[in-house]
Amino acid sequence: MPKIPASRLPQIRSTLKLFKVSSYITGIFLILLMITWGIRRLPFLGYDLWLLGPNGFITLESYGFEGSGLPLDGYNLTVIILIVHGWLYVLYLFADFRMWTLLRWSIWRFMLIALGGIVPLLSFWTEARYAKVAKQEIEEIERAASSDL
Amino acid sequence: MKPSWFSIAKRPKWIAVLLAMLVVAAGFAGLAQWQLERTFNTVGIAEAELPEVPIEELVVPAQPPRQDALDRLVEFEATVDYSDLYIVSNRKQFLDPELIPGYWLIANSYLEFENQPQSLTLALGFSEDLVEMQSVANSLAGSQSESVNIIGYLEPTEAPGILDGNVVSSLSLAQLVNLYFDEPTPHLPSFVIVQQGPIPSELDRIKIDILDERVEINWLTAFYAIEWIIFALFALYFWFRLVSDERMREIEALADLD
Repeated sequence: MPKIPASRLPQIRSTLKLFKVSSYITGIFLILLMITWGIRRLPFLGYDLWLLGPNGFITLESYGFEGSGLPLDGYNLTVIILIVHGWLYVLYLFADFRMWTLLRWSIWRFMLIALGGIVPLLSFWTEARYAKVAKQEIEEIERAASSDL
Repeated sequence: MKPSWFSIAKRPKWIAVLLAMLVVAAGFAGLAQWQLERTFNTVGIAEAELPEVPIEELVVPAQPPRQDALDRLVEFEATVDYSDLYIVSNRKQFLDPELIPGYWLIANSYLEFENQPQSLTLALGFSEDLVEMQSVANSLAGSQSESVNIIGYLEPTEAPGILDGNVVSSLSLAQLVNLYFDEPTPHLPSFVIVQQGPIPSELDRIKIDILDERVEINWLTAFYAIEWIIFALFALYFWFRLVSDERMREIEALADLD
């Protein structure tokens, strides 16, 4: 693998931080999304999570046919979670992309990490594994830099 | 000698990778296209162009009018009551692209609605001239009518206005029922602008500006479309990066040999 200059280290360290944080956020939102998807779509359920609706602060409201049963007032938390996850996943992909660029990882590793925002719980595993890999690589870069002196 | 970037890019393997990335990018571009289609919604024209339906499908007595029922064409049989004729001022006739100020002639009518007698206000016709309108109203007043088939647009009631003789300044059903009836009598929650039916021959068919199209932008899908375009560009960048990595590896291998 090509040598990575030690001057990149501060950038790599801050990107690693972003990668770790965004992995957890993406993982948590993906679990929230699975739960809200379940209470909307699973048989005998069919509810959306509702904020500041007519029936209380946070309530479950009957989804009905294509959302026809939902109240007019308040905010649909189920949809908000979907949208927020979508954008935080883009942030996660950006962190993944930066890690891949800075540490010159393989394309397959990039794709596996990218899947972390789609496959539930995967991002926790990729975070644990590749943050460790990144730390080792950072140490190697440091060692190479000090032996060059 | 160092291999040039292009000499690596044109190898069959990397051309195959380029084709694969182009397929991925095309897929993403297709998704962007799909999101863009969902972004711009033309509204307004759709309701008015739907074919007429029986009035029972869109109107519920004693309930507020359904929003999606307004500007829809409805069909029914009704008997016009020419003893309850009024003229509504402040009307605008839509002669594309102009709006001509004038008057409507309106009348109460009776119909069988789900086997119950109901009344329904009809807007019969338009005239620019109040004097002409008054003479039409006078000649029609008290004439007998049979049950006729009517097709027209379902429209919402307005706020009460000022009554001056037989001229009202707005079309308020709450006000009109008090003019029509001495006894409490049911009236359907909307009125109908007659398009086919008992339009007096001296008057024009009413044309209102309900064919006004407007485009609604769905910002959520607009941003998703942008996102997919960025993803498509990244697919191509990835190919560039993979070829560059390959070149770096080959240059290093050459350096190791030296």
